[in-house]
Amino acid sequence: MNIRNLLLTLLLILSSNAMFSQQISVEGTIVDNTDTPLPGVNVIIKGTTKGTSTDFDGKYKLTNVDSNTTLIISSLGFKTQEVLVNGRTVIDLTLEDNTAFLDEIVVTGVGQSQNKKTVSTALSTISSKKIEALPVSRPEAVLQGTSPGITVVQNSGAPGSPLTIRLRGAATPGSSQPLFLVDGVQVPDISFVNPSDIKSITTLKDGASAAIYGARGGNGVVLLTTKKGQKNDHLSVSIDGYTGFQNRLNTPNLLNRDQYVEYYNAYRTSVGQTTIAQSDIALLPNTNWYDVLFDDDPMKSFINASVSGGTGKSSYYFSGSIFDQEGLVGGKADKSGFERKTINFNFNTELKENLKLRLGANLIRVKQRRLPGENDDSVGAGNPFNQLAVLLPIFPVLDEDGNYYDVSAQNGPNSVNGVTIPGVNGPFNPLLAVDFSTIEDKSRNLFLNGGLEWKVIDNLTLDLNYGYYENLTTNKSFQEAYDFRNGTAPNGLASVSGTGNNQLDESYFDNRFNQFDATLKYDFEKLVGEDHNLELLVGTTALEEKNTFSTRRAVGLSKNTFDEANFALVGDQSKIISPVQGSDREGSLLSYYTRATYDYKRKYLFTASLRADQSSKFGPGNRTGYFPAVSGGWVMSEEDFFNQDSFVNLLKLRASWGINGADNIFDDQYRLYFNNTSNAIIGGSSVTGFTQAILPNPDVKWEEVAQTNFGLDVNAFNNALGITFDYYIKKTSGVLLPVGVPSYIGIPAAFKNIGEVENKGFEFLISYKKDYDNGFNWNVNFNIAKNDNEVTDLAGVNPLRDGQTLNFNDPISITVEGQPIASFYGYKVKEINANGELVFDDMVDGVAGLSNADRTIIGNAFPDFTYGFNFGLNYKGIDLGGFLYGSEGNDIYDATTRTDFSLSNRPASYLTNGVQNLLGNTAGSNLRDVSDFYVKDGSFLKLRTITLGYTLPQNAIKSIGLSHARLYVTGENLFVITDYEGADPEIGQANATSPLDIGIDRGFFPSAKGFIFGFQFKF
Amino acid sequence: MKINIKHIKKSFIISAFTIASFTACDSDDFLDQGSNTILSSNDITEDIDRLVVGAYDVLQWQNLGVNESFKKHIYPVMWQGIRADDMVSQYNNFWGAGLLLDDFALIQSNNSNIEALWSKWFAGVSRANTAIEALEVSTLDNKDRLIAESKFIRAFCYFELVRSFGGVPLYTKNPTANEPLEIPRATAEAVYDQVETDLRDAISDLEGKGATEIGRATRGAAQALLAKAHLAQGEYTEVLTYTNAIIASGEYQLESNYADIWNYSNEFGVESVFEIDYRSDITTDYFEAIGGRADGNSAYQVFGYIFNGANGGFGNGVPRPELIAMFENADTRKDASFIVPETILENGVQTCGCLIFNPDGTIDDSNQADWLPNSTDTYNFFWLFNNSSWLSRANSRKHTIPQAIASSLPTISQTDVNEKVIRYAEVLLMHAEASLFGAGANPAGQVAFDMVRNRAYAGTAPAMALTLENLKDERRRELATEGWNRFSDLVRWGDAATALAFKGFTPGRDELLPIPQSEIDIVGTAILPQNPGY
Repeated sequence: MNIRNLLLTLLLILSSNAMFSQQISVEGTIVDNTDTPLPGVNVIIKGTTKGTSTDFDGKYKLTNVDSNTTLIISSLGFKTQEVLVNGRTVIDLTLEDNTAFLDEIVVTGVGQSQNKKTVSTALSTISSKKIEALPVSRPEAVLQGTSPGITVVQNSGAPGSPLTIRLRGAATPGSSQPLFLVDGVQVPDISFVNPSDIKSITTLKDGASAAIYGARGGNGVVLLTTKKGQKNDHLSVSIDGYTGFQNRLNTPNLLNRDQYVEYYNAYRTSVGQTTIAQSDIALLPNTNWYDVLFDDDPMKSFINASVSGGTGKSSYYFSGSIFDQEGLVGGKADKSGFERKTINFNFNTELKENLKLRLGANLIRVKQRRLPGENDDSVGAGNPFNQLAVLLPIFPVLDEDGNYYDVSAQNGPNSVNGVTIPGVNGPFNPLLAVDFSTIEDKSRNLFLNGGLEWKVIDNLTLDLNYGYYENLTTNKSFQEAYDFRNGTAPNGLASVSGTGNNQLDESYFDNRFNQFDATLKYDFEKLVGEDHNLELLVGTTALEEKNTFSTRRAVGLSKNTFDEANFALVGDQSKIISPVQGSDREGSLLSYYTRATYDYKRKYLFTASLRADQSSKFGPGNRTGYFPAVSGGWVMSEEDFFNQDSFVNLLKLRASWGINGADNIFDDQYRLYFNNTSNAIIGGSSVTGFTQAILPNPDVKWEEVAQTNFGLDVNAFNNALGITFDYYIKKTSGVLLPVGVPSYIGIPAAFKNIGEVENKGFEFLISYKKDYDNGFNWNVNFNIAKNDNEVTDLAGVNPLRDGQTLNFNDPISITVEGQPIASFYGYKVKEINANGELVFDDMVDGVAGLSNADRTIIGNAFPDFTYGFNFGLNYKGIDLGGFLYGSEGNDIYDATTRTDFSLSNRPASYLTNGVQNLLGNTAGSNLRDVSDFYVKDGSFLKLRTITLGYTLPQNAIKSIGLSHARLYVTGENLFVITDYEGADPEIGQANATSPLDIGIDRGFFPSAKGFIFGFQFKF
Repeated sequence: MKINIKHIKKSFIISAFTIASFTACDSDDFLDQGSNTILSSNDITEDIDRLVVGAYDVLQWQNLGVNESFKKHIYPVMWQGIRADDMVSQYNNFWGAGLLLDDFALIQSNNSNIEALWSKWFAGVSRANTAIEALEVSTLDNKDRLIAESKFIRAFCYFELVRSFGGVPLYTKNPTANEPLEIPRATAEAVYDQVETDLRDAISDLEGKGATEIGRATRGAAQALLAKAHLAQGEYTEVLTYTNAIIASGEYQLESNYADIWNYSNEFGVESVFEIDYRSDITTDYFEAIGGRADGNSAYQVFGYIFNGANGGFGNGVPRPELIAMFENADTRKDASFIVPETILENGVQTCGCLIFNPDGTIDDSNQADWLPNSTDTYNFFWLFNNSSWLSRANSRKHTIPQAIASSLPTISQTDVNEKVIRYAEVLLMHAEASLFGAGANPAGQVAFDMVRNRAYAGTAPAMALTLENLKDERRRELATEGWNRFSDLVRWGDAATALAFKGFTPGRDELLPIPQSEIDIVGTAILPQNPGY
């Protein structure tokens, strides 16, 4: 029988059934208790096998239904309901939650979603509920600890600063940033999204789930879905917001006044120098520079209002929000802060019964003020943070004239209250660093999204989507003229002298993404019988991105304030000194993909996908990459042999395999090209020269990430208990690195496919919830993930070194075969001998005598495992919930102690740690070699949030027109348990572009703790 | 319920159309993207002479370390001054780069400065190769001169390489993408042969002094460099051939006042044979300028008078007292070369602004009294060395800019000061030296020698016979701390072992720098055998 005959036969059967009854048709919408429509809900006529399931909008329609029959409405994770039709033609229903986490509708990418029960890949979802509970400035932050396998580390506690996100480990020494999509449209990051607009965030973790994003899914995929209005819904208005204050987390235990003087005197005595008299100590200040630099109780506030609703054919969602956060340092002086204003509009309508239009528009403005060198290795006045551990507690904050005290020794011996005290040469008063420069980023984001969904015939849908993302950022940075050496300062601030030069920098960033998708989906459900569910999808995506950047600088402006400094006011054009630096690039990606999803009786699950990607990053011969994936699942609990009365509700085994790619390299690596970035002085003027930019690599191609995943899902005890376990092996091959060309060729190397990285680990998630008849309910959720990272092959090229500091003689990190990416590399301390000297283990290389070869791996910044713990309980309107996040085994290289600065302060532990007192001069001592003396255990457990809320009773609020009112208070980071003595054990990358410089504490902007007070009102 | 096969077909057709619409607009076109700020081979045919500019750029490079602090400094004075006996690297907590060159035991094949030096000169070789290859097929009117300039640059780079490393990979055409990158070390002799060939070629096509824009290589520069290359090989007859030619050209003369050579407003003066031009106002990167677009000279910041009021230098390289002691007080070069406590700078007597580094590591400021030469430890002023002894209280004046000029700079890391690579005085001294070994010196060697000495003494110098020993001393005094000769001179004279014994010079090893280990790691020891002793 050919397909056509089969179809005709099926048609006949179906239509003959329909002809023998006198019946009505019933339709309606099924939603959950948050009014979110539920797709895939089974609507069955009782006593028959006849029925349907709801579509993506939660809608169903049943024709030829007996007017007195009963419908059974069921969906996994919800209490099954029976409804008497009783002649009604419209039956809308709200299903009551009966979930363990496993039964939910999850987004699976390219516009599709699926009941999680039938998913055979590894993905995890965070719902709006969880997101609302976390008062974060960037939505990415909610990924931390909420689902296993995702590590999120803050690079800096500065408001709005970027985060390092890794899904299942660092897959490559290059960028391991996952792919972000908002409502299906690729964006560079999701920082522009108002957290209140988020409906869910789904993370595709294994190769098979991410493979549909092929080339760009190699580091995992984060799918963010925004809230939409509901058809036939009454107008609903929500207003929510919070305000609160923050403070710093920990204060490192440095020598205080008395301790420092003791340590100083001991040193001075040892070199036969005068000491500070005991009687003078009381005359000296006892300054805690952390107290000085950090503001008290900077504020954080958020307000969001949204309106949503719908008519018979259309729905709308409109929201606006303002988020405003002051930095812990410089926040009060408006030198550090983050302000985001968003407007979001979503509109969905049915143009025709089978043609739906959706439109979305977001306009976002962000203003961010940053401190100089918030988390980098710059020194001097630039970076206030890496000076805090250096400054002496016996320095006053202000000098006798009320100016910032000059901590350096360059202006001669320092005297305080008549007592001569030492200076420290190099650092500056950190308050000065805050005052004399202002750095501001102003961004405008525009995000437009429009689509057409055309149900060509039953079961066949064509979806066209267009997305546009634009980010225009202006960075303005101004350093006031200041003469550091003379130290005289009008207004108690910086001194403007004729010799100082102020400096104005302005940079413009313009990033635009255009994306067009077409997806055709056919649901074979009706063709191949009730027991077979087959869905086939083909699609194409075209993506274009354009990035331009330009920057210019002027010095010696006559105006000396941030607000006044302005290029138009630079009178002498020769003071505009770098007028022509910039870049301008375009990139494109053209993709075709197909995916088949099949299950038999929801028992045997199978998906296969294939994507072909073409990237402009590669030459014509290597442009195309093919990324296949398969996954299978076996829902054992559906088998007949499985005891239906068992306490186990669901038992599912999963396996998946898939290949993704990555093309995180510069453009044009495959072809010969020239730069005009060289200059020489010819005839007395600067003349631009041309140089060959790279030795091209015509063979450069995709980095490949192959991942195998095994999973187990269990629901038990009436779905109260849920367990998910995943084990994965993720192998990256053809790692792209710009190496292999000896420098005697004189031309920089192009990126080459060399090297392999392996990540393997497991993820475990367990949850339990319990409801009592008196309305009390509670739930807990624990997750833990372990990942082992190893560079398995570097094709014989030199180890990659990174992590430069000024204090240490060598870079701190090494990326070498057989070790995790960016491990710490240095000497092992065998003992601290009787003289207090560090004795390094000289037999690491098996040869007596200390040599460079005795350096070895002494730690790495990746945690052995990370874990999260959530709990919640509700009773009579009172809710209490909390979230703890922990990391175990992450090493920190503590580079905050600056032994290269004579007489600088030390951690208090130096009084007792047995190390020789070399306060004044460490030259020639091995304290400046990279060694495990500085490697500290960074394990920690943080109480990220704890929230107490109260929902006002309905009868109390109805009279004032409210349908929902909740007040809450949340404590953030109220405690952190850690052995690490620095300001914050969460240490990410030195900056957004240095993935090999991680876990090195040079002194940085730590994260905050605090309280917020919030409300949620619905009308 | 009906299923219409035609509908399915129709929709598939529509969808296929949608998908095909991308393909139809030619996916290669769509994907042919990249940076718009780069130039293809076609883009540069109009301005092929810019490739020569790219090659000149390399000569300016003083630092290749991006975000690596001092780790990739490659100032000439480090290799010829600090590595030799003219200068000492200051206080070692402060500047590791110099420290590692100041003690032969510390010179290792993983030294990032040595890597940077190697990379710099090879970048020059490769850029010159690119320019020559492109120019040879071009139709530019002045292509012969531009090729000659490129060959001068290539010879300059190979001369520096062979002096520093011995025989190195020798190539005059760059490999293309698919060609092997393993280029074995040629012999030192072969490298010198290439240097000579390039310079001889260049001489015939280069212009005389003043005929082309300043900053470009001239005939005299090529002749002087060729003389120097022959001098390095002890080929004195050839040295005389080219010094005779330069002297006979009449294009050059000595500045009458030695200090004027370093006068800021007297660059490319009458004595200048080849200098590297710098300009201050292109970029204002705070720390020492790095590669590429940086067009200012940062040597003042690194080696200038330490903390000389506002915009002072770091004083990283300090003249050794033994060097200063070689000068008689009547020798005007002494005051022009060094800042010592007696020195009166342009802005007057120094009253303050310098530092005393106490043995305990604390730093005090100074006052007038500290500058007076009545202290018994004359040279105990500036830098603590190895925790125990004070080495020098002088500073290099040739690297110092008058306070008034320094104060007006946008940043002290970007100054106008040019590097004087070859001066006419050096041509005369080469002439005098070669005349000791060969006939045909015109004028006689003693005449040339006396010209240099008389200028130094601002008129008539005390008579001194031209002997090899006197010539060596005079050459050291005349070119002190300029950074292009001292170490190489000691090596070619065979004096290094004795003169540098005090800092652990090992004959047979320390004449040459180690080949960077990172390079050997890439191509193997068969291609790049390490120099002996490392």
